[in-house]
Amino acid sequence: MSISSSSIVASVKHQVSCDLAGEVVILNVQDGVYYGLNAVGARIWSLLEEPRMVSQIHETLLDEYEIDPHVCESQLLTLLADLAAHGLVEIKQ
Amino acid sequence: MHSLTHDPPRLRPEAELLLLVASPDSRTGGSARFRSLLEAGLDWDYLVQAGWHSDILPLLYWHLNATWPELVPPAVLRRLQECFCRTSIRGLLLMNELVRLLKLFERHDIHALPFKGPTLAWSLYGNLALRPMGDLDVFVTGQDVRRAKQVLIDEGYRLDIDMDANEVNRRLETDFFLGFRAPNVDVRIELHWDLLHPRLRGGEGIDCIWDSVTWSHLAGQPVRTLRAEQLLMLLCIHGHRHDWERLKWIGDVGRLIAAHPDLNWPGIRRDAARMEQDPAVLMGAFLASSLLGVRLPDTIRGIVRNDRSLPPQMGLVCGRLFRPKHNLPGFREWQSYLELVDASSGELSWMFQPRSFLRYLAWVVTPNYWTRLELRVPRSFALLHYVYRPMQLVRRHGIALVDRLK
Repeated sequence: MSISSSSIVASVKHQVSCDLAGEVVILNVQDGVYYGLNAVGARIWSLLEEPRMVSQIHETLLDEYEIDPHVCESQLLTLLADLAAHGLVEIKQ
Repeated sequence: MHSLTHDPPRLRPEAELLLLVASPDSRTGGSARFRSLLEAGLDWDYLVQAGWHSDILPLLYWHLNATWPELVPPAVLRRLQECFCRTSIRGLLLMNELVRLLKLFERHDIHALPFKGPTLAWSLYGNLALRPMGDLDVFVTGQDVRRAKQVLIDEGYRLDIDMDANEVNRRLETDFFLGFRAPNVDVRIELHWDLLHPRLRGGEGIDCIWDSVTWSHLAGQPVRTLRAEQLLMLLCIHGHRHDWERLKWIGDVGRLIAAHPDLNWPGIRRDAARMEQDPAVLMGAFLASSLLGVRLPDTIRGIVRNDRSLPPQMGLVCGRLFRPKHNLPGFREWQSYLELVDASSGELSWMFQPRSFLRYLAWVVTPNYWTRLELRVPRSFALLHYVYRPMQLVRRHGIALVDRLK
C-alpha cells in the first residue's frame, strides 16, 4: 500500500523500541531483526505511537526543525515507506 | 519528632538522591530537592558505585539527563549514558530471546510464565532501558520442568553447571531452579518451578500462582502474566530472600503498589502466609513506603506502622544499599536510616535510647538468607544459624568488625 500525506500511520504492536541517547533502536519481535533511527527518526518514531495522519507528522516536524517543507515531506514519506517495508509501521488510508 | 539522646548523622546526599531516583513518582527528578542535592557537592564516584550496586544507574541517567545535565560532571554523564545504552541493548536482546522461547514452549504445550526481566521492565517502567536485567527468569510447573529443560537443550542451551543425568534429576527433586546458557549469545535463563529452596521455605510452594495466571501482550505477543497481587507477593519474596540488597527491587515493589492502588492486600497476605512469607510482603511494603514515599492504603499502612520489627531491619537494608563495600551499617549509621521512617509510623523513640544498641546488635546477628544458604540444616536444627551468623560476620569483616559496628 502506498503512502501519501493523507495516509494514517502507526507503529505495529509486534515491536519494542528503546531510547539510545536520543536515537532509537527498534526490535521487530516477529523476525528478531533490529533497526536503528537517528535523532530525527527517533522523533518520528515517537509520533507513530498513536495513529496519525502523515500530514500531521509533517507539520509537527516543520514546527520543530528548520527544514524545507518539500524536502521534509519527501524524506518523511521515504522513511515511512521503509519502515512499512520492514513490517514496523502499518498504513491505514 | 523522635526524642533523641544524641543527634544521629544525617543520610548522605548521594543516598537521598538515589532514593529520589528510585521513587515511582516521575516528577522527583525535576523537584527542587533533587536540584539542591545536585548542587550540594556530591561524591560522584560514590554515587555511581552505589547506583551500580543497586542497579539503578539507567534511572539515574534518565533523571539527570532530563533535568539538569549541566550540573553533572561531563565524564560522569558520559559513563552513565554508556550504562544506559548498554542496558537498552541488553534489554532488547533478552526481550527478543524471551519472546522466541515463550513461543517455543507454547508449541510444546508447556505453560511458561516470565518473571522479572523484560516483562517487568516493560510493564512497570514502560522502557527496557530503565531496569537493568542480567538474565531471564521463567516459571514452569513441576510437571513441565523436564520437558522445558529438554526444549532448551534441543535449542542448543547448556546447563550452566556441569551435571550428569543423576545430578540433574536430584536437582529437579530437591532444588527450585536450573540455569542454562544460550549458544553463541550472552543469554542465561533460569527455569524455576519454585521461588525458594525447599529448605528455606516452611510452607507451601508457589503452585497457587498457576490458578489465576492471566494473559497480556508483550510486544504484540500473548504471554502468561501474573496478576498484580501475585506479582507483588513474588517480588517481595524474591527481594526479601536477597535481603533487599538492590534498590531496584524496592523500586519495583514501589512502582507496582503505586500503579495498583486497589490491590487486594488481605489476599496477598493470605497467599504469602501459606508460604510462611507474610513478613516478606510487610517488609516490601514498609521499604517502599519509608524509602520511596509510596502511599500505602490504610489497611496495610496500619499493619506495617505497628510492626516494630520492620524499622530495625530497614536500617540494615539501608546499610547494605548505601555501604556496598562493607554490607553492614554501624550503629550510628543504622540510627540515621531510621530517620527515614515516617514520624507518624508508630513510636520510635526507643531506637534512640542507649539500650537500642543491644537491639541493633540483636538484628545484626539474626541469621539472614545467606546464613541459611551457607549452613543448610533441617528446620529442626535452625537454632544452629544463630551460632553460625556471628562466625559469618567475623569471617567477612575480620578484626574490623568491632570498628564497623560503632
